[in-house]
Amino acid sequence: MTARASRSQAARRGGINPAAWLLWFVAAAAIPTTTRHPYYLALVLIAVMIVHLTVEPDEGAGRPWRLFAYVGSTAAVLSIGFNVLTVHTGDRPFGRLPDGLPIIGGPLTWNAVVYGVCSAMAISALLFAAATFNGAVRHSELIRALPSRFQRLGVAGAIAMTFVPQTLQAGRDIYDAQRARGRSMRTLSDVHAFLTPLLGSGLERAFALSEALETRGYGSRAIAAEPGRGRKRLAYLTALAMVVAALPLVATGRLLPALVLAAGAGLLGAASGGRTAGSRRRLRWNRASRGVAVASALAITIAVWGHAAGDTLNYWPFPRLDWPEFQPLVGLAPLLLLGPAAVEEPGRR
Amino acid sequence: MIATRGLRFRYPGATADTLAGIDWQAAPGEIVLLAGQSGSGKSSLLRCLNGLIPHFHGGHFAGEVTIAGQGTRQAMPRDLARLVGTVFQDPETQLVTDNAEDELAFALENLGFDGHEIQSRINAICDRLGIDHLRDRRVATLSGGERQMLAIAAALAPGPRALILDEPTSQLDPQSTARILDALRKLHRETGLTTIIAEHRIRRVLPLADSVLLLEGGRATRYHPAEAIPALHAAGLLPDAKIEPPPPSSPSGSPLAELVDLHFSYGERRVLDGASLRIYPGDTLALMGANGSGKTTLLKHLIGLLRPQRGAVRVDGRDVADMPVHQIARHIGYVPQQPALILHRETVEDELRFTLGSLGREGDPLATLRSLGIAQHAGRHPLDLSGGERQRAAIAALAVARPRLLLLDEPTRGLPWSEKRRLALQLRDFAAAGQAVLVATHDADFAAIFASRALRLSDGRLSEEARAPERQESHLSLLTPSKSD
Repeated sequence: MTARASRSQAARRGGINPAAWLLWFVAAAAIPTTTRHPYYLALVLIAVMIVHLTVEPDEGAGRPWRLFAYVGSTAAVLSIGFNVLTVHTGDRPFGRLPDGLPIIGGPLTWNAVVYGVCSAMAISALLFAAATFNGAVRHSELIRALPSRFQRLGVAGAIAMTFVPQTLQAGRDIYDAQRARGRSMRTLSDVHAFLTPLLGSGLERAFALSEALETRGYGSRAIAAEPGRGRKRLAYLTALAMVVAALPLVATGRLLPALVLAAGAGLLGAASGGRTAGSRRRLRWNRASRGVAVASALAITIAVWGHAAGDTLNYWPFPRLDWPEFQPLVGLAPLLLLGPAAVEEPGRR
Repeated sequence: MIATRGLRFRYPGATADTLAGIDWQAAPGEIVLLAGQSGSGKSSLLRCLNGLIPHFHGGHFAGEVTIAGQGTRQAMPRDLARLVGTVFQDPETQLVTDNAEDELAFALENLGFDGHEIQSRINAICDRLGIDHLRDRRVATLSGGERQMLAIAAALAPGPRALILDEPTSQLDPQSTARILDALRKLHRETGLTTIIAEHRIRRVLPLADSVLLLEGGRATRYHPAEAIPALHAAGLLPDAKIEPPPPSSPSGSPLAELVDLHFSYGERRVLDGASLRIYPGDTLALMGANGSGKTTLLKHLIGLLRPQRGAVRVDGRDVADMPVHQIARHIGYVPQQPALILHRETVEDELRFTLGSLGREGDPLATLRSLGIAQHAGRHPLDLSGGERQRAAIAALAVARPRLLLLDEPTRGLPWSEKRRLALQLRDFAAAGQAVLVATHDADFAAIFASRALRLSDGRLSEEARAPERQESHLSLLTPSKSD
């Protein structure tokens, strides 16, 4: 590699690598996607927000995602009211709307408030974790972190990701154009005036992009090398062992750890059968990346253990609203999410 | 290097051949300018050269195309990528990754080059095109010209024997266009690469070309550049001197619209920095400036989509700071850069009726369509129209409500000269009827026959140019590089 190429990559060398960021994102999503326990959700949300505010998106690329996160979180907070008005069960009423009112008529309960708040925290934590991840990671680098078997799938995924901000921008342009034509989003016809050009422009973009992919050799019969037979056998045996280990977990109702094992087995099996394309850049596991990866893996392990070990992470405010239990060890998992904020270079902010 | 024999192609469901028997050859190292009206088959011919036709598009394909001896029937486009590099019109949609260096590596990785070779080729192409400073940048942060330069570099990285470019400068300002064409000239001088360029900005590309291939009615005629000029004029592809520019307007009475000391920034990037302007009835104004200079931002202030951070916008003497957009839209019509953004009805006529309904106005859609020369398309779906027709349908959709001021954002992108001329004359007719028209454009040829006043937006400020330059070049001047387009 030339000195110049090294220089061009040096700017990114001090940062956290995409694989570590991916692990962080999985860790950040582990609790919000599996429980409505308010204490742990609050801790995860706080940790994710600290990281989000600490880590500057790369060259403004995270702005559309940040907007997406703010809009989504606002909607999640507004949904608390919707939850209170539409869920009328629970042992802690604080008011009542006339029973004659359709859907919203009936008792208003603290149980519904608590559930709405927990859901809003979970959604917001997920959205801000996604915004942080997408702002910090270049999708192309993430694709390089994938086993070669998944690279084409990864390219497709990365393109889909770039479509999100492009579609948001197109949506904004169409909305502006229709307003300038005297319309606003009030009637079904206005929605049609918005959606039809959005769909049309999306299809045109997709078509142009697929032409570009074809002419840039995507899917070409690239030079490939098969992995060694011994390595392949070992990987398949390991995957099989993971599947066998998952079976008793399924039988005892511990679905999350079973799912993790099964997914790991699938990934290992698929990756070991893959072709190896030429790669010009390897992931750099510097101290920051290693630290974030280890902390994130630990957070995932704790979350999985929390589910496997009993009811530590379970919480349901219906029909009785009780204070949830707090297990300090599980509470450590959200704190481990602060890794990127702790290791991020001062210059990146 | 490139040869077509008896090439015929018809798109699926079409009733006529787009390419109707083309026999043509390009020698190694030749630069060919591919010219023709919109819909004449330029893009289709280019897609035959890189194999997208027939493999990607289907349709009825007959005859033979070979690139360096390789028939395109036998090889898929992805496998032809080693032989032919392709650059498309839109810098937005052809870049695949989110980082410039990865974009350069994308085709190389797909084609199975090893890591060391990939790095070495990236270094070489960055040196050759002078884009080393871009390689670590996010694609989203590049300007249109930088993106197009990156697309050219990415197409060249695998070392193809031929490069084909489909209107590579149609969305770029004159400065970026000049940079792209200079890079192509240098590339050709150093490598002797066979290059095929389809372009509507013929005056800019003609000095580079070794030959011109003119497509008309699905057939191709090859010319030497000097001999091509009369044929290009006859085909309506070169600016002519037959149209008198409009007389300079003499502002009188009170202005229709006024920008007063307008300031606006996107974050820390200042775009408008004290821009002021008065627009009078009958004005035909060309707003010119580089990509990113703030032309669209200025138009959006006039229609109320953006509000000034300092300064004021007045319509009929009234400050519109608190006026909602739909009320401003009763006085001002705004056609965005991409007409497809506003077109969503089943027929063109329906589009016009939709505007009238939205604004609560009476109007005659068919008369408006007639005035823009597209009455014959009243019953067609707007998205089935060609680029120029679609542009005019979008203008008609706004003009039908007879706004006192019509704003158009880059309406001539990708249009041949004959379409631009027709549009300029139609807009002048609107102004003659008492409306004012403000067009943001890069196109000096268009401005020359459209504008009674030419404005330049630079460093956030507006300045009025003495007059848009007239275009009456001799044949000789067409064959030397020009910087003024």
